[in-house]
Amino acid sequence: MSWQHRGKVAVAGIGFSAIERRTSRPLGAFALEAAEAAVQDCGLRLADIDGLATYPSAPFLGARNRDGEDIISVEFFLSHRRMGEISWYAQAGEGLVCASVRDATNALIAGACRYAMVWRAMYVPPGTYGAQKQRDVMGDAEFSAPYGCVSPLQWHALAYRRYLETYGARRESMAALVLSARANANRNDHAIFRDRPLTEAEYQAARMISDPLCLLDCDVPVTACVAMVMTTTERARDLRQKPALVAAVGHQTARRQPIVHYTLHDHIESGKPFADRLWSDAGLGPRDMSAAELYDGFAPSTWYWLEAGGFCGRGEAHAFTQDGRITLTGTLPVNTFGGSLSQGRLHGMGHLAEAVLQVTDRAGERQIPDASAVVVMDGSPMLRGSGAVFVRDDQ
Amino acid sequence: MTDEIARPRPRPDAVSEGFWNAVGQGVLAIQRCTQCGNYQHPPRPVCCGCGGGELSYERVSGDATLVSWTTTHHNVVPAMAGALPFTCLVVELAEQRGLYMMSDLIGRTSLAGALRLGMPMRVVFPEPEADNPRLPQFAPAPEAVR
Repeated sequence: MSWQHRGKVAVAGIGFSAIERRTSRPLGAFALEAAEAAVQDCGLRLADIDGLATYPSAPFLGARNRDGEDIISVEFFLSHRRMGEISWYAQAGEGLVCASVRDATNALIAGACRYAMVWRAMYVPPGTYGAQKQRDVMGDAEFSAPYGCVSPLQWHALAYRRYLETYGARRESMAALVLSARANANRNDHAIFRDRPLTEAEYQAARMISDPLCLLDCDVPVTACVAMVMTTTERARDLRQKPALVAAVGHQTARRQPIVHYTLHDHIESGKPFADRLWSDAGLGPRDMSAAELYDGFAPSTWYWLEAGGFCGRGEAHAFTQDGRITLTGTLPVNTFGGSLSQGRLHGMGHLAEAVLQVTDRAGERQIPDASAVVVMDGSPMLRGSGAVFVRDDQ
Repeated sequence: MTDEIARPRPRPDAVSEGFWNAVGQGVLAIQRCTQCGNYQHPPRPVCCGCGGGELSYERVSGDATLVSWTTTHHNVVPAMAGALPFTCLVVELAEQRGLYMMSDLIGRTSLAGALRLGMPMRVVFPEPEADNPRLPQFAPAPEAVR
């Protein structure tokens, strides 16, 4: 049986800030740009927003966590003078920004607010992104950092190596996914690589970061903010844009032993029960999807989601993604906007925005004709795995 | 030069000091629940299996199999840049399914090419590089790399 609140809440509008790499403008300026654009998209004003939800954390070691500089927390908008009275807010600690979509959905169903703004702001720090500079480490890091293993890119490389060795796959096969994402970004004005095509030869020559992960398997850090306005479907129908209905939303809840990294096994075994729940709530399955926006902070995560989500069998994603199957004109278009790999590291906000644009016929030159349902699977899947299914409003 | 690297240094607390005290004696000991027998690593104040609060550090065989590995080229720990590229690896201890430990092959780089999924690995306690902590390291078991 599908979820009793299926389709009762919707995304009513989307707003993008500029997307830049390192920039002299403060992150706060990007956040206000995105918020303003999101409310204008709906025909609302900032003062109409009475609910706030974000996943605020800065994803690099040594963040100052200063509002407006490297994070945009709920407090940033609470204290902004153009905002109206806020009756509800939530900050997610897990599940990336899909968790905030879940929080806002629950709040709207409960009547805790009328118009919720959900956003994610990302900032590129000076210097190396995520370098371990502290000499002394405590807690779980005692058992990993002394070996020089400190970064998510290394955890992902470990799971990816296991995948390649287990299934006899080749890292060269990832080119299909990365090149397809880039071609889609070349059709997206909100992509950092809008005007930068990528060739197979360039992919195969990319330098190693932590093998088998090469530079082009890692998403591109950007400074940007994307915001969206959520409300009940009933109210959304009176606003400027067509609503994108939330058919299902949630995050993974796998149990596991203490561990210092994320194994391939964890990714698939945590992603699968979560994806099954998402399909059951939505009353839809992988074959019903017009497109899939699958998190690609590191490219192998998209392979894991394809398998955990049931789009293909276990160990098959490396072959499934070949032969144009996941391109815009393929049987399952994936990351139709360029993904984090080529739009920029927005921690799932780009994936969410694209799903909304697709089911409301607003994806421009990358529009999938008559896109009726699009899934977002965010995180990677063990690490903050979460997701949502958006469907077209038939009314 | 690998002897010029400054590895991040564990600062043990009441929960983890049993592990590091054993390492100081050249012994690999893993936290185990006296009630249900579950091993857990990294350590926790209670047993994640049964909730039991009586945990002890128990010597393990040091035998393991290789789960995965990666050779890191990116400068993720600036103080270890002298060792780049270095190989990090994960092993599963023989004592329990899913009981993982991390290691590296710094100082044994020539073995990186011999790594194979599931190969037998064994704990070693190399002399620490100057000013670095003593660490257990896992290397391919001698019989696996003839």
